[in-house]
Amino acid sequence: MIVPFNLDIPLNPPSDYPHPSLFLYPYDVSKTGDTKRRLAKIETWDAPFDLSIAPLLIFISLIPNTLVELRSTDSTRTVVLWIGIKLFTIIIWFAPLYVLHGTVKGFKRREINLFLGGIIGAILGSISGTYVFYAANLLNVNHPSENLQRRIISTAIIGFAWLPIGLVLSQSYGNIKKIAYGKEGSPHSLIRQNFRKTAFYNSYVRKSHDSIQTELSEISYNLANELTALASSESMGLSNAEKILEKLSTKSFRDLSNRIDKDVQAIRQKRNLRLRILTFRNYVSVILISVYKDMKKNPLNPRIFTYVIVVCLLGTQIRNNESVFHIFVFSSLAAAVTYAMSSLIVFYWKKTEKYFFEFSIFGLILNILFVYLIQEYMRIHGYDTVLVGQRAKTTFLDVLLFFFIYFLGHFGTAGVTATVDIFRVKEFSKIAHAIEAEMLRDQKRLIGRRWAVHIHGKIQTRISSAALAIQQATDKGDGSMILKTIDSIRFTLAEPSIGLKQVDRALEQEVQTRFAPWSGLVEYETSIEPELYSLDPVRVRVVGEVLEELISNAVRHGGATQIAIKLSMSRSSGIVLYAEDNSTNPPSLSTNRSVGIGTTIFNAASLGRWKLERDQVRGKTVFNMTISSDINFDLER
Amino acid sequence: MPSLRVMLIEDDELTRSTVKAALVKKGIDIIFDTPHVADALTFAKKHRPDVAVVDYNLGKGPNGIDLANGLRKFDPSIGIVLLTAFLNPTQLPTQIAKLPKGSKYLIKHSVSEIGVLIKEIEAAAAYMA
Repeated sequence: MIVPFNLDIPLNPPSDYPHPSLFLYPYDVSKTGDTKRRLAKIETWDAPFDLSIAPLLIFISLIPNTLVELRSTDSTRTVVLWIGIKLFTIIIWFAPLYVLHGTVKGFKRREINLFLGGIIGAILGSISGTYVFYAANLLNVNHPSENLQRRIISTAIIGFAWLPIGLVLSQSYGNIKKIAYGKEGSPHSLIRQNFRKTAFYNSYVRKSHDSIQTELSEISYNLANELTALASSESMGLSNAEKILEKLSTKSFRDLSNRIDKDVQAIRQKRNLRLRILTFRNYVSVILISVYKDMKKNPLNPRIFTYVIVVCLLGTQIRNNESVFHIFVFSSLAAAVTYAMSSLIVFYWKKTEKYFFEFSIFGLILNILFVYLIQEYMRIHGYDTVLVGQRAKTTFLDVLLFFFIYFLGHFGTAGVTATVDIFRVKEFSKIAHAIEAEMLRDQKRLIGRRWAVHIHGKIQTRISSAALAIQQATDKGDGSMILKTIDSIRFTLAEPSIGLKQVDRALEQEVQTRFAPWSGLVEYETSIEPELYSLDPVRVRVVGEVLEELISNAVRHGGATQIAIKLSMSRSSGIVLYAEDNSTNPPSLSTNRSVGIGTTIFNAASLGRWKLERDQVRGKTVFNMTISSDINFDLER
Repeated sequence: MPSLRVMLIEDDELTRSTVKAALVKKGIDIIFDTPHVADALTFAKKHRPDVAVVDYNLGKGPNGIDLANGLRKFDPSIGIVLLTAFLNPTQLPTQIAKLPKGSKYLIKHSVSEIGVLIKEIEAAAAYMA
């Protein structure tokens, strides 16, 4: 059994590089070619009737209706039959919609589309109501107080309410989808098709590095063991040199290197999957944020909620022959709760903005509780509500119903907001590009620059060198040289992670460490404000990384031979880095919009607050950056 | 034919000493060896070696290509042999295209066959000769 060394090789990722969090890429990529083209398409897209998700919307819209029916039943058989009838109703609802799709899409005005949607919904609702009535009669599961007229009217009203909302939702859905995915598919299909693969990707990098570590440990352990055995054997000497040379074949390490190459390629291929899944997550965020943007603009206008709740309850009321007065009281109170919560969040918007999700959940719970209390109040005071008699058992379904209505109502509002507010969607695009940049950076940093370089460059080189040294020693007949070489290579194999470790330094020392290797190629001057001498290690490394990129770019791309830097502290904005060099071939890049390792590091360190300019008069290239004081680098990623 | 005067820049001590010994044995005159870019530049300015054998990965800071370009700036006739450990094209540094003209590129694994390295050193020396 092979027992690996207890090696201190960092698993994915190395912890000594600062890693920016996802949202630290504020540069404006919305004006780049592809996004600009997509946005132009969105802004001129005026036909909101996108039926790609109509079946789903209609199916969802039937849930409250089904719940209403469920509470009128008194046996399991009846419940099952009702559900069956409702499922068939879905077909009646959405099949004609596809037929009508082309006709309705022809109207350019939004209002006409919505009105037509309402009419179509009402017609389809009437048809489905009729169908449900006769099907229920046929199966003997009809509601005791129901008749055909009530069924048709109530279902038509609910249909009229739901269909326009479906249209609005589908419009905003379509807009965001087009920007986020182009023609590649919907989030739903991506989730369905790629979830397993994407989940696999998330663990892929870690597994890859884990197995690299294990393999490296095993190879090193075996080789070191064999060398030790040969070196300590009684017959050690020139006679064993040939055997040792054979053992020092680097084939195992070459195989490991090639494995890393393959992993890099595989991860590149899987990058897009992860990008899409993260994009979908942000798509949901756009919708949620839009809810609160709408409340902020119109605190007393969560209109969709009120619209839905009143119409649904009215439809239910007509069907169940309950008190119109009570139902209006009920609706008004529920609406008042919503208004109150909205106003509260908006009033304290600055404080609540960061916690919109938590407030949203809290609001939902509060609303459910309030609905329940209202029903209890009405039941206790003997009103003819849904809680009286046998329907009292279905209180829980009522709560679910209002939970659902509340959520969908706000999503409807979000849809309206998202449709007219392209700004959020633009931001969403930026985030998507940032994720891509981050992924590129991950691959190059984690694998290209660390593991692969280490195993390719250091371990294999040492073993090749050792083989050469033993060959020479054998030719000379120098036994002590062989032993010395074996000791050296055993040390390397016992500590294969050497060279991957980093140490913390003070800022002044870090700056000198970054510049010193370049001396001879470039002359440099540094100036550091004393206040920065006690800078924390994380930001010291950030400055170091930025300097590394700055120097290498100036020398490699600009041919600079002189660089001067000044680091100072600004209380209001953070660490200010000023640099100038005598590049003869200054970069044409004057903004921070391109995506590469260097620009990604600069953007991450400064939240985009950096500028590269050419001073034509002095013949200098000038670089300015403000490193944020409160930047949150996640060192564990 | 006088022996070639070669400078060796490699940050790994074992590799540097081993390669140096092997080259010396084959009649190559290693006039200077160092792990540091700055030392290499200073020496080359003063002593003008025929060829510089340079490792690509020299740790933090400039790489072998940066050094090669720096050497050619003041000595256009110096021969360059760049050593790298990368076997697979997907891992090759993109900067390889920026190697000075006439430079030779050698995968380190071949170094154990010292004859291959000597052949490349001679070819690099012949570039401006």
